[in-house]
Amino acid sequence: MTKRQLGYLFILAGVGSSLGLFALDFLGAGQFQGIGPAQRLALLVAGGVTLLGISLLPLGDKPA
Amino acid sequence: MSTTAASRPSSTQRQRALNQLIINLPRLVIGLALLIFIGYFIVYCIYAFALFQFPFDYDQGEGFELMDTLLFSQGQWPYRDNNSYPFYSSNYPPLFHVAIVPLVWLFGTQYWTGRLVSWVGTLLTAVFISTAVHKAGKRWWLTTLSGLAFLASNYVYHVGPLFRQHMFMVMFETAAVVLMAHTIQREEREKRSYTAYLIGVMALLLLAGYTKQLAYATVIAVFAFWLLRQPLRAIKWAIPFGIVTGLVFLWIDLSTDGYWFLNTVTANINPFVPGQAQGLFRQWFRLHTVLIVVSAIYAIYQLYFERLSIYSVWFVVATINSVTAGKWGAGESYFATAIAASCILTGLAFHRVLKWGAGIGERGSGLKFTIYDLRFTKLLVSNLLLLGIGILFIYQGGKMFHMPTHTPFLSGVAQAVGQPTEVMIAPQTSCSAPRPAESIPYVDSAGVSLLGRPPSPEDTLAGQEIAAFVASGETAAFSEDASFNFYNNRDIVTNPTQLLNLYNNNSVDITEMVTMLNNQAFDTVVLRAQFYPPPVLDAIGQQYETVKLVQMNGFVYCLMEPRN
Repeated sequence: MTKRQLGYLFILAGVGSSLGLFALDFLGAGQFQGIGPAQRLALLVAGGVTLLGISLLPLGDKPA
Repeated sequence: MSTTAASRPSSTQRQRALNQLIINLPRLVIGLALLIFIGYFIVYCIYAFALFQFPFDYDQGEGFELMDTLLFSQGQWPYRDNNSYPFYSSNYPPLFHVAIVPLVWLFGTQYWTGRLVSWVGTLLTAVFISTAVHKAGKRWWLTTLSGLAFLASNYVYHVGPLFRQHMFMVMFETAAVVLMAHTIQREEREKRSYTAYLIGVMALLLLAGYTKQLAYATVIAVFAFWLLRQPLRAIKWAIPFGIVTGLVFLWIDLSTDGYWFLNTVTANINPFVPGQAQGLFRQWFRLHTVLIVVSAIYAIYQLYFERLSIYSVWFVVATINSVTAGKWGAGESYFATAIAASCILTGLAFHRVLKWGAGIGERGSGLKFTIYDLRFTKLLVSNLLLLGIGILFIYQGGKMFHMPTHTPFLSGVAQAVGQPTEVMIAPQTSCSAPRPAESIPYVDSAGVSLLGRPPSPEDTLAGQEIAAFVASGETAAFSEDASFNFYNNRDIVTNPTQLLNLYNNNSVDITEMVTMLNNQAFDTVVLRAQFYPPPVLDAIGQQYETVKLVQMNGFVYCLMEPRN
């Protein structure tokens, strides 16, 4: 696997989990209206993973 | 005052003295670091040998792990029906207990058997860590320090010599990861496959998982690393590994009429306490700062400038998984895998830095010198790096400070390094009036800790007093600790936290238990933390009364008899 592919994997994981967190809200899970504290933390982590993925893209075909 | 030219050192002498200082100072500092970590190892041995001699529960779950071992030694499963007498079942996989069975056959139901096996497991883990580090650089002092740093961790110290299966799992995890690293490295170097080694890795992962469920994180880390290097091969191996794991699971579940699933899966679904997780993460970082920071920097370096090693992937996955320490009933030991990974990564990172220092001035190092000053610069840089690494290990050693101070020598050592010689801790009690704080001869930078202080002769006498109280009745005691019934060769009745977990998941029927308590079927009741389901505690409160309070290992035990 290359650094770029790993980057895409991180982006997919980050964006996917962010969407999943919003989907949880849509389904009415959790005890808070809107975004709760645990959700906010999870969104921050997901954002961080996405950024990490983006930062790996310029490294191209180097082996991961 | 004037100095004659003859007595003044020449520039050559000054240069030689400077060179000697540059060479010797780092060695002195590294020697001091080694001394500190060897000191921690001696302290670890003192604590372990004190525990081997203590015949009662030191940590609440120990007796139940001994009970699991006893059942295995009799050819029985410990995954049982909690609804009927003796209301006992285990919530842990079997391997640790099975490994101790031969010792129980030979020596009987002794607490030291499991404590010894767990302790030896931690020593082997340290050896595996050292092996991984040594393969990278062949610096004996760094090899030694990396392994000893694991044993010096406050968490490993606390839990290592207990009759608990956690550290035995970490041993298998570490062995699996180190063998995987070795195998892949060898395969890539020699361009051939080593299937037998990979089967060994899979076997070790399976053993880890069937020692404790938490090993799934290491399984994920190994396969994630493999996916990075050889995606198709990783998938091909994951399928049979999953099938074998599943088949073993099914076999145990069928053999126990479904009680395996109930007791090891359903009973482990516990509420998550965010504050507990946060507190433990902060403490883990505070106690292991150097190991964590160096590992994190090295993992980031590998992510951007090298290939990711299995140790970096393991460290990240294990750290993320440590969040499960926030589950009710979990604790500091959940960080042990991340600590093992960080010890290896730290050792490897320091090797890398020293290699860089040794290569200064050579092609590709990025730094150019004239031939005249190259030798001195290399000497200076490599020794400054050694000095820095030694100082970092000493700093890490200071962060982890823990020491029993029950002997004049140990107390003197604590005093000499500027630590207190005792701490004031109030005994924990769940069923008596609060007691005033008392002096405890044990100091730990983790803070107030119930684990880590070697049990004293008074603790043994207290245990014997409680056991004598149980012996005064005709029946087994309804006891929160198993040891008092073991001491009297009586049935082990209930596994309280297991019952509470199942009760909270609506998966146990406590009717028979409550009926027996209401009928005062037990002559004695012994409570420590009141971890029973509320209706059970209600029945005890209505039918039994406290007749005596006995303090052991910093806990107040309430000894109860039937009300008239």
